[in-house]
Amino acid sequence: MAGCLTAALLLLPLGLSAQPVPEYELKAAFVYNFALFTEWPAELAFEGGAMNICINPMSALRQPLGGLREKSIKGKRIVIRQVDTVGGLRGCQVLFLDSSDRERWSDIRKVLADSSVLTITDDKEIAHDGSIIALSAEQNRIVFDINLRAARQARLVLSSKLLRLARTVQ
Amino acid sequence: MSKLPSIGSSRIGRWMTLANLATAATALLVASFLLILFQFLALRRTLIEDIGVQARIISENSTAALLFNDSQASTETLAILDASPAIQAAGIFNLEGKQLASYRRDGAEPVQAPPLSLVEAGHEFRFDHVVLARRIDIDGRGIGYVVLRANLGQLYARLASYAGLTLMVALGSLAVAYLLVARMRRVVKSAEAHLHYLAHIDPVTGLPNRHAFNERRSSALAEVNQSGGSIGLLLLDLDNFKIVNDTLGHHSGDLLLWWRNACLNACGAAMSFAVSAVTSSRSFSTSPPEATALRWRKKSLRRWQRLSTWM
Repeated sequence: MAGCLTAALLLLPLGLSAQPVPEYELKAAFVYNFALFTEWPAELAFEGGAMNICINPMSALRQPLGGLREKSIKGKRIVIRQVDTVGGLRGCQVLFLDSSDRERWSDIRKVLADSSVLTITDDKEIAHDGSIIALSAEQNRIVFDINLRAARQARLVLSSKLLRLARTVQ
Repeated sequence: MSKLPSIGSSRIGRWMTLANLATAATALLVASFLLILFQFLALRRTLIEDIGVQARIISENSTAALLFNDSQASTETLAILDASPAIQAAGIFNLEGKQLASYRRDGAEPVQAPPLSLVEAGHEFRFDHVVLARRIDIDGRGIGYVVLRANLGQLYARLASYAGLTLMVALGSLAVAYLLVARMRRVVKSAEAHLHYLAHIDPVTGLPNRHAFNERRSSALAEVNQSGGSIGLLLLDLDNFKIVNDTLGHHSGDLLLWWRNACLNACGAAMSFAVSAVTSSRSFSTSPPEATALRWRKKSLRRWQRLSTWM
């Protein structure tokens, strides 16, 4: 995809509706939806038929992501793994990063260099430094930007339906 | 063989023709109606299939927008329906029935969130429109609904064209069939008349033959038995007719028979003979039942004397 496409502006309002959805629950739902529109390499083995969504134990998203345990994606049950060591990230298919992961991001990148892991973050610095999907708030809405180059390096294919909704695709 | 009066026969024939025509027209109308009905059902099924395909395309392209609650992207997805003139309105709803996006052509009434019965049935057919609802799935679970409403104006226009063409073909076929039947009936009637002539007329003298005489005699006797009165029988036998044949040839014999019967016919016309019949050298004549025996006998003798003199 050439250059930077400005696509549809998202998404759910954060505080305007009568019963606003808490921000982190909304982000947890986004993580699930991103995984729905992502294709992993066919040769990738999902151990135990599980889709591992990894998160720092200190992350505020840990609790809302727990609500995804009952769901599945493409026939694979969702397992929420709380990983506090960089070495433990190899078995992940989705990794959510926030500001608490900022310091170890460079190490994480090295470890995941050859891995097909969908990295999602709501931290601006990590977003600027090579995560695949970056969440941010804009006018009381959550929007996301996609780094297609990083996705290709991870051998992940993001659906055009998802790309169409992104604020920017780089 | 008793023969129906020609006027009655013609009238019956005309009625038979009209009855055949009416039967054929009824059959063609029934066939045309069934064809039009079948065409209507086929057009309706095609329309529903077309709308179903569009609903599927919409649903496939609106999953992400629905999941991320992106109204603008959903509206853009519905906007492609502008290329489908039959679609009047459409909408994308989440599972709770909240509308995410809608499409309306020329201020048409918007679609409503689909009731469960409509989703289960797939579509609902009304007189002037059809509404189709389809669940939007992703990864095997429902996330919303797409609803399309199409009007049936185009369908009815196509059906009217087809009905007109069908009726024109039916009427054309009926006209051709009528002409063919009428022509065939004329041919058959002519053949029947020819067969009747061959069966009842002696080819040499042109007079009714023995078969015709027998029929006329039976008919006359039956009429007399029923209504009373009497009939007479005149038998003419030419003596030495064989000599004519042997000396002057068969042609002269035939000519003699022809002249005799021509004279007999002339006498018959004067005496109101009903039928003269000929068998070789013999001729028979019967008197009409209403003629009195005495008067007929006198006239026959007088005419026969003239004939004998001539011959």
